[in-house]
Amino acid sequence: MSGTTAPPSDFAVYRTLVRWDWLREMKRKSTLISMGMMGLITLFLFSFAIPLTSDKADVLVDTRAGILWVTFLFAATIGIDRAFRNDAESGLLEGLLLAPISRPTLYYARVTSTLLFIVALQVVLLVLFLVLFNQRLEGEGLWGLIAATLATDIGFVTIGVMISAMTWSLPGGDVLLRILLFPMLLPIFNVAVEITDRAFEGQAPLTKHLGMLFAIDVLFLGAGHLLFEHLVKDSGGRP
Amino acid sequence: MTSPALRVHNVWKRFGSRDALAGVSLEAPRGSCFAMLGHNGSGKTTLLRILATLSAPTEGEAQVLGHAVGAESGAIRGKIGVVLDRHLLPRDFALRDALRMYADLYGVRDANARIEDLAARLGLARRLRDPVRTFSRGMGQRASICRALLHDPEMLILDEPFTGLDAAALAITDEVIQETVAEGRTVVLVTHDLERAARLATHSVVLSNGKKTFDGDPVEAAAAATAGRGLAG
Ligand SMILES: Nc1ncnc2c1ncn2[C@@H]1O[C@H](COP(=O)(O)OP(=O)(O)OP(=O)(O)O)[C@@H](O)[C@H]1O
Ligand SMILES: [Mg+2]
Repeated sequence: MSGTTAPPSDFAVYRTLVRWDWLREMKRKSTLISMGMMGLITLFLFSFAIPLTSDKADVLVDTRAGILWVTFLFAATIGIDRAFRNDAESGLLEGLLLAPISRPTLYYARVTSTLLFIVALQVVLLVLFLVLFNQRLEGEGLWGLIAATLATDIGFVTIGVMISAMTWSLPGGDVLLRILLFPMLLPIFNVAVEITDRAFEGQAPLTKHLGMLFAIDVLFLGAGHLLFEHLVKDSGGRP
Repeated sequence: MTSPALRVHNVWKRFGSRDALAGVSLEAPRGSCFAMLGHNGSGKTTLLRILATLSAPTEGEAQVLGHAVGAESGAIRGKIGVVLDRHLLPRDFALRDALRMYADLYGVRDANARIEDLAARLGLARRLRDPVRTFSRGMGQRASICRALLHDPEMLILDEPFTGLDAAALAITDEVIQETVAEGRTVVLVTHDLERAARLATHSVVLSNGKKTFDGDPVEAAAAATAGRGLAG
């Protein structure tokens, strides 16, 4: 071989992939916009469904954490579904699979960029939620919510991106993704809602809750790492 | 360099109940231009995708540049440049950035100069700033060839690279193939342009219904390829 190339390290490839994913999204923002629209619609629907008048304020107190997480979930699932679908349809995924990139690196890069999009989205949705439902978060509660959201997102995205690689080529894959993903998310979703509930009361998350999120994250990450390579091993032809 | 460029042993590929490849074996020496001919649906692309590490054979073994497809796919990927029916470039980027992304992934040194060189060679120098999505079919094909050459690969794997190209681009592509072979590297070429295959190839096989029906001299292969015209059953 001539000296045209110097094989980059896995970490350099990872950084390159995340960077170009981000640049690509910034060009058209199609994923961010779709996720944002979905989040907005969900929030508005809830704001109509839940009475905001002061005499029924306790309904909101009981449901606010759930509302926030259902909104996050619906919006973020769009990003998860697109983690591979767009690239696969445009042929770019094949180009990436042809490149000398280790499969775990591709997986981690896609997890990272999807996570970035989702966190960016959640910041906007959270602010909107607080304004729309006239809620307040401060001190320990706020930090608790941030920690819990990040920990929940990691679990959500690691398993989601794996399922996205499994379903993008199937007919009705977008629906199948949700059918597979939502039940798997129930345990972390429950914990996230509990932590958020406490956060609105101004309380820090319980160690057992954070520990549980962490354990599930590790589990999902391991599953993604092991399965991803197998999922992209055989792209026999076009979808 | 004792291992052949390609060694395929009894490879099968099954899609549902259809055998796209039914026990193909072949070998190509390094420094050859190896043409795979055959009618539509005979299994050429299927075999090419296996060699390019995109797809796994149902049965059998394949080696590319001495590395086993599957177990050593990673080693193969850095050494091959592949042109498929789609250009595989990110559509929203300008051509320069789209190529730059791949250059970064392959670790191409002096990437900007390399991109300029290749774009100039393929007649795309003035379109480097245009988004890939605005390209015509032939321009996309030219861009795809640029992408495949970026990292100066040891082997070129080309699936119908001439489709949509005008006379000038055809001549350049011929030249690229001839130069690659002259440098002792290998070209695997799938094409329906029998005249071109006969001229460029040093070695040919004909596939029919997933089986190899001819192996040998390119000029005779072209004749053999015209013989069977039916579609796979
Ligand atoms: N993903 C797939 N699923 C099902 N069948 C497939 C798939 N890919 C290829 N085939 C079948 O395998 C056979 C060989 O297809 P292949 O694409 O390899 O042909 P080809 O020789 O490249 O044809 P062409 O000259 O038209 O490009 C065909 O019968 C095709 O229908
Ligand atoms: Mg084909």
